[in-house]
Formats: sequence, structure tokens, C-alpha cells
Amino acid sequence: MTEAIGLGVLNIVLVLFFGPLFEGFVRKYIKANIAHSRRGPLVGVWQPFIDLFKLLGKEDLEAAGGVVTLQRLAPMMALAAALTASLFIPIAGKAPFEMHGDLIVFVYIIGISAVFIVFGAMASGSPYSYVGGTREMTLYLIVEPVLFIALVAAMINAHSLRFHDLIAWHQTHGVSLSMLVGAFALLMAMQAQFGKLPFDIAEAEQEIIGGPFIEMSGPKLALLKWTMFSRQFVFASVLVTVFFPWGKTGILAIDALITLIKVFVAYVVVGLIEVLTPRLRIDQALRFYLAMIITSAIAVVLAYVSP
Amino acid sequence: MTENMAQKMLNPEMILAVSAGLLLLGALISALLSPYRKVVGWVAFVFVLVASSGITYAAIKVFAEGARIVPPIFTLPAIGAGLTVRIDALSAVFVLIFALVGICATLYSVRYIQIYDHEHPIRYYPFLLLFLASLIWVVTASDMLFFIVAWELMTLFSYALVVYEKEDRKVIRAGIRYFIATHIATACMLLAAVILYVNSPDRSFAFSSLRAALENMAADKPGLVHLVLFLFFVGFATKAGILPFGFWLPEAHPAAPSSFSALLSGIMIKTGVYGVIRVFGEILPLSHFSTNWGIIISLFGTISLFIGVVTALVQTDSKVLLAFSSIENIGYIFLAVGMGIAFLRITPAIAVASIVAGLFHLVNHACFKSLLFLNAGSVLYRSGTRDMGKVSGLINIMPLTGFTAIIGSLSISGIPPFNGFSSKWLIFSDSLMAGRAMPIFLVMGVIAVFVSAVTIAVYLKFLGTIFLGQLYSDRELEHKDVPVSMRIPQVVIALFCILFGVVPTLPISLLHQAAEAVLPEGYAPPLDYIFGTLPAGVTLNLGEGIVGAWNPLPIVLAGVLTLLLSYAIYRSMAAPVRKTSVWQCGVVVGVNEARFKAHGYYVSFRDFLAFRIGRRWVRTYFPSIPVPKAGWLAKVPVTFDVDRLYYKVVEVGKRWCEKFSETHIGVPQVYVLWMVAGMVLAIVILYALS
Repeated sequence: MTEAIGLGVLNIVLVLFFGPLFEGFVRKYIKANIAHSRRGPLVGVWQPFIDLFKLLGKEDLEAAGGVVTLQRLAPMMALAAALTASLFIPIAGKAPFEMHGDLIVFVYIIGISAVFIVFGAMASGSPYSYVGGTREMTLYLIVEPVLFIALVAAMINAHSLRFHDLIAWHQTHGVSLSMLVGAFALLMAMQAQFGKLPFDIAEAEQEIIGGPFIEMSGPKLALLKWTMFSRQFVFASVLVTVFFPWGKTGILAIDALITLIKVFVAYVVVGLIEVLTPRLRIDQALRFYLAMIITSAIAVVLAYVSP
Repeated sequence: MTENMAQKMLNPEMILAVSAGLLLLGALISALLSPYRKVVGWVAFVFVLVASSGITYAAIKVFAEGARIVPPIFTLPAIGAGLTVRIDALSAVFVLIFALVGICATLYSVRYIQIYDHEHPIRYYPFLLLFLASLIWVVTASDMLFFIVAWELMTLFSYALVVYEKEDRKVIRAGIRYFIATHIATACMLLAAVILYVNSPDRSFAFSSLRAALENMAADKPGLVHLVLFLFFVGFATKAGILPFGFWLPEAHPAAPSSFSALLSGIMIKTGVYGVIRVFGEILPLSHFSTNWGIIISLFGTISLFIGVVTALVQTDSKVLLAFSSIENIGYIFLAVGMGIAFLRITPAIAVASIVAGLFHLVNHACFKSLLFLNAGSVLYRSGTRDMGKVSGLINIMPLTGFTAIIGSLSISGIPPFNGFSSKWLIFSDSLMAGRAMPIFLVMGVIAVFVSAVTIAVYLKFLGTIFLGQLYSDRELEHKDVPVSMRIPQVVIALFCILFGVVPTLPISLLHQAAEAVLPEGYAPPLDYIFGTLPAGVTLNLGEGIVGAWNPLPIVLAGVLTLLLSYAIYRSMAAPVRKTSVWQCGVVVGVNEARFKAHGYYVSFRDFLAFRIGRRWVRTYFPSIPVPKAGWLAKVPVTFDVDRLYYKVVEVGKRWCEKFSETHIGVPQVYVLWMVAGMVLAIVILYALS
């Protein structure tokens, strides 16, 4: 019981701290230094923390004609859902909630955060946020099957829906083609889940002035940004813990460190793809992710045919 | 002696009979009191409340003590039918949801029906109570002939309520479609019942005799068995709204008054599922027929699932959107029940878990769909429109209704920790794990998960257009919420949605008993084995160890704690709060000029789903036959257009009836003439026969 609470607190702290940190690294070294050949933020990797700190103290504007309670509640619920979802992932070797939920529960709890971002968008009544909200939902409903089917491929192999069974099977079995194909599809899905180019369609600054985030300011925007950072970390950690689980030692600190290094590699890959591509339209994104769903389905077929 | 009688009075079957009798009495009294519009609703509600309490008590006793079988009240030995009543755990489940939704919808109707000032309440309340009474009979009859009689009564009373607004052409059209479709279905069921009756060893319509008939026929007449099962399936699928048989549903459910739409979508279409479970689970003996027909049932369920949700996505009328969503959820239920039936011979754990999942989704859907229809009715009550493009931001004037609408929408989308997620989790787990034995169920499970994501989009549209955003209506609005008697039912059902989500073991234990009641004695693995022993959570064991888990309470606790953490972060620097208007790029624009309307939602996804065959674009998956422009080819679809066929039949029938009525023109002498002629004819015939 205390072990679970301790692991839970550790998971949440890791997510809240390393989410912005890795994002800051990508922002300074990959986007600014490598892609744009400029110096980047003065404080380097700590810029996202400075942004969050600044936003928490800024004036909190609320759209008067809209649903004020929901505007306040939505960013908090979104962050809470992202942090609760992180409790199912064994970031530090063992997940605190491994006995309480399986992969279906995880996919839906992380979906709650997307739903509440859209709720927050619709609560204010700005037409830009409605457009952003519908784009966010369209992207969600085509990307979520990719994540789900890739996890189903792991489930077929492991004969169980629970995360620790999936990871245990993959560790003992070694590399397998179906899991590699699933990992590739999931890596492509991460681009949209991270909200990064070429799939930052929901938040398209130049098109719809920030989409769901337009009417959020100050602390609400800080919470939403932190939600995005946390979701990114959670999705990356799902990919690396289920599809690249090797290197477990049993010692908490070393396992956490190894997972963080793998998540960092995932962030770097996503960041590189981000700086090399332009933004796609929503219909192009729909077609691309249909291809990814088919790729995930191929992973499932491979899981049936050969373990 | 009196103690014995008192004991007998408290028997579940006596209480059930008394409750049904109370409903009949209530129908009569409502009919008599109907000129007093303000009173008749409350009188009807009192009758429904007492009767529903009675049947709830009876159902709880059945769960506690086991099935009750009542010997035939009267028999028709010539045709081997007897009015037997049997209440087992499966009937008890249905009786409970009838009670809950019945009470809530009747309380809601009391004020709601008052907006129909052109219509007379005598066509509403008596039929409503008779409808509820016939529903109770449907799930407690254990004789096929009387089952069909009860089924027919239920159909007739619901038809009367669907065409309540009889001045509206579209409503009448919807009613006729419903009437003809469901009577074709009843004819199929009757034919199947007669075939089984003819083949039964003791020439009777009782369920046990029909089972024996199927056992006899399975060996030497397999084609006939398939025909019988097909006819039963068509009959029940039509009532349930499974596509393509359920094409009447998207017109009929919006046409009825919202309180009755809640009953239609909430409990009437569930009787189709009841029929499927009785016929395919109890009357059909375990054989390869179960496996094959289970797969067919699930296939039709998956088709309805997909087409239902995709068509719901593009609707702009709130009640039509909810009707298509009902088709989708019935698809989920058929998927689960079909999977259960298919696995009856293969893995008992998966079969029982799937049937429980289907029944759980049935109970949950009864809750949240009736809640959503009551919400749509509240919107109609206040704003006078069902069009989602004409109103917005109504949660600002009806906060409680909007809040219950949010709970209903989150429940139906399958968001944890509400009840929709509990049943959908069970369905997904079962179909994914069953997919290892039969891959087709894995495909269906994945389609179901995709459809669930689309459902979230559908209900965000429903909420976002009607309730959220800035307040706007294209006509005058009173800035008040609906009356208290309309708010209470919504809140009650919302509480059940939350309860069944956070404590799923409560309904699952009752539903496991229901599944045990249908299946053979000792077949079903015990509750602890399949669903685990957590106090409020479920761990799923399908025969190979624990494969899944859903324990809501710790997760809700973690959610609350992280919510408090988020709130602490939010207020950590005590930022000043200021209200401002929405940013419109520096200009001042009215609410209606910059409003994102319902028809603009998800246009990209709609275009994504359209595909081309040759030069013709298929944009909607819901069956409707496009008529080509010219030539003889244009005549072919017209012949097959079922609508025109119906209306042709109706017109011809009307003309003949009118012609026939010309024989009685209102002149008394002509009537006397007809009577004399008839007497003479009768005398001649009797003379000829003797």
C-alpha cells in the first residue's frame, strides 16, 4: 500500500518534472540550434519551466458569456487525467496501479484529458476554439485506434490485457517482428499525440490562433501547457516501456533512469521529425493515420501468425 | 389461514400481478380523468410509482430466492398454449429497468405533455400505462403464443404513442413505417413459433416444448432449424433496431414525444435483446447452430454499430442523433450477446462474461439514453426546437439539465468512471480475448473501439452545439431551467449512471445470476471465478488466469487527489481573475454572426468516409436508395423503394375501405335494408347447411 503510494508520487513527480524538461531540451537544441541555427532561449532547457512560472502569475481572463465553471474545471481535469494515466505505466520499473487497470482503462483515461481539453475549448464559446476542438476530436478519433491496435498486437502475443503481463512477455521473448511493426506505427502516432508538426493541426497558430487554447490565459494556460507536456511524457513512456522494455535491473533508481533515457530518445526522434516537416491538413492527416491503422493491423496479423 | 394467505400475498408473482393490475386500473382512471389536464399526469404518475415499487420488490425477491414459476392461469388445450408466468433472474433484470425508466419518464411527462396543447392527454397516459403493463407481460411469459400476444400489445400501444402528434405528416409517416416493419417482424416470429409447435413432441407452445422441438429437428431438418432461427432473428432484430431491419428507428424515435422516446429507446428496443437471449440461449439447445448464429448476430451488431455512429456524426437534429446513437448501442449489445452465444460450446467463461457484458450495456444504455432523451426534451420544452444549429449555450440558463446532459454524454461515450465505460470495458475485453480463439471477434472488437472514439466526437457535438458556448436562441427564451418535476428524473438517472460506473460489481452480480438463469444448470462458472473478488472492482478471468482489471475506486481516488494537486498549482500564485469578452480579432461581433454551427462539425471526417463506385458517390452508409435521373433504369429502384410500396398499399387499402363505407351512407332506411338482407342471407346459409 505504501509502496503503491510512493511509486505513485514518484511517477507523478517524474512526469511533471521531466515533461517540460525534455520539451525544453528539444526546443533549445533541436529546434533552435540544429534546425534554425540560432542560439535559442537564454536559460536553455529550463525555458518551459520559466514559461509555466510566468503564466501562473498572469491575469486570468475568463470569457464572460461562456460557461465559467467549465472553463475553470477543464484544464484541471485534463491535467488530473494525464497524471492519473501515468500511474498505470511502470516508469520506475513497477506501476503503482498495475492491479487496478489494464490497457483499455489506460487508453480511456488518457482520452479523458483530450475530452476535457475540448470541453474547455467549447466552454468559452469562441468560434476559433470550436474549430480547434473539432479538429482535436477528429485527430483523436483517428489516432487512438493506432495506439489501441498496437497494444492489441502486444496483447495477442502476451495473452493478457494487463501492462505487466505485456512487458513480461516482451522481455522474455526478445525482439519480434509484430512488436517492431507496432512500435513503428505507435511512433508515427506519437507525432499527433504530442501535438507536434506535422500534426499540430488542432493548435495551428497561424490558422486558428491557438484553437482550444485561445480563450485560456494565465494559470489556465499554464495548466493546459503542463497537460500537454505530461501527455507527451505518458505517451512516450507507453511506447518505450511496452515496446522496448529491455534493461530491467530491479533497482528502482536505475530502472527509472533507463526509462528516462529511452523516453529522451523518443523525444529526440519526435523533435527531429517536427523540425523537418510542414503542417499537414486535417484530411491529409486522416489519410496518413488510416495508413498507420493498417500498419498496426499488420502488426496484429503478424502476432497471430508468428509470436 | 390468514397468515398463509398473507404469506402468499407477498409472493413475487402475486405482487407482480397486482402491480400489472394497478397499471391497468391506472390506465382506466387516467382515461376517465383526462379532461383535467393538470391532474391526470400526477394520477398516472402515482399509479406508475406504486406499481414500479411493487415490481422492484418482486424482482429483488427473485434475485434473492430464485426463479418463480406460476402454473397456467388458463390454458387453451386445443392449441396447446397456456398463460404461464415465469419470473427468473433475466426477467427480473428487465423488470428493474422498466421500473426505473418508467417512473422517471412518467414523472417527466407530467409537465412535458402540457406543451402539446393541441393533443388530448387521453391518447397519452392510458396508453403509457398499458404499454408498461404489456412490457411486464412480455418478459414474464414463458409460453410462445402468449409471448407473441404480449409483444403485439406492446407494439400497438407504442404505436399509439409514437403517432401522438397526429397532425404532423412526418409523425404519421414514421408511425406507419414502424407499424408495418414491426408487424412483418411479428409475422416472422409467429411463423417460426408455428413451425416449432408443429414439430414439438407434445404439441404445445411452452418454451420447454419448443426446445424439445429444436432438439428433434436438429438432427434431420437442419435447414428448417436455420429458417426458424432466421425468422426469430428477423423478428427480434427489427424490434431492437438492428440495421438493415431497424430502418424505422431513426424516424419513429424522434417523432414520439420526448418522454416516450426515452421509453422507446430506453426499454422497448431492449425487449428485442430479451427475445434473442431467450431463443438463442434457452430455447436453442447447445449445438453448432449456437456458434454459427452467434457469429451472425455479432456481425449484424457490428454493422449497426458502425453505420449507426457514422450517421449520427452528421446529424443536426438532436433527437435523430440520439436515435442513431441508439442503433449503435444496440449494436454493442448484439455484438456482446452474439459473442456469448457463439462461445457457449467453446469456453463457458467467455460466453457468460460476454452475455453479462451485453446485459450490462443494456442496463446502462437504458439509463443514459433515457437521460439524454429527457435532456433533448428539456431543450425542446424551453427553446421549442430540436435543431442543434438554432440554439447554443443553454447550460447558462438550465445548469442542472446541462450538467446531467454532460454526465449522460460522458457515460454514453464510455468515459471512466461512468457506467458506459464499465460495460464497454467488459465488451472490449471479452471480444479481444475471444479473438484469440476466433479472430473475427478481434476484428469486431477493434471496430467497436474505433466506434467508441467516434461516439465521443458525436456527443461532444451534441453538448457543444446545444449546451456549451455563448447563450443564443433564434426565438424568445425564458431564462429558467425546466420545472422541478422534470429535473428530478434527470438527476435520478444521472445518479444511477455514476453508481453503476463506480461500483460495477453491484450490477454485475445481478446480471451473472440472470445469465445463470438462462443457461443450463451448473454450466456457468461462478461469479468469483470470472469477475474476481474485489469489493467494488472487476478482475477478469476467462479461463486462463486474470487477464484484465478495472477497479474504479482507487482510480477515482487518484483522480480526485491529482485534481486537488492541479487546483493547488492553479491557485498557487493567486492570479487576479477578470471577465472579458471572447476575442474576435478586435471587432465586436454578435453571438450569431460568429457561431460554429452544427452542420459544420466533422466535415473532414464525413468527406473522408465518402467513397466512389464508378461515378456515383456514396456519402452516407444508412440504407437509402438513390433514384437515377432518366431511362428505364430509373424505374427499377422506384419499384424497390419500400416507402412507395408501403404508401401504395396504404392508398389501395384506403380506397377499398372508402368504397366499402359507401354502403353505409347515414340514411337509417339503408341500414335497415342491410340488416334485412343480412338476415335473409344467414337464414339461407343455415338452411343450406342443415
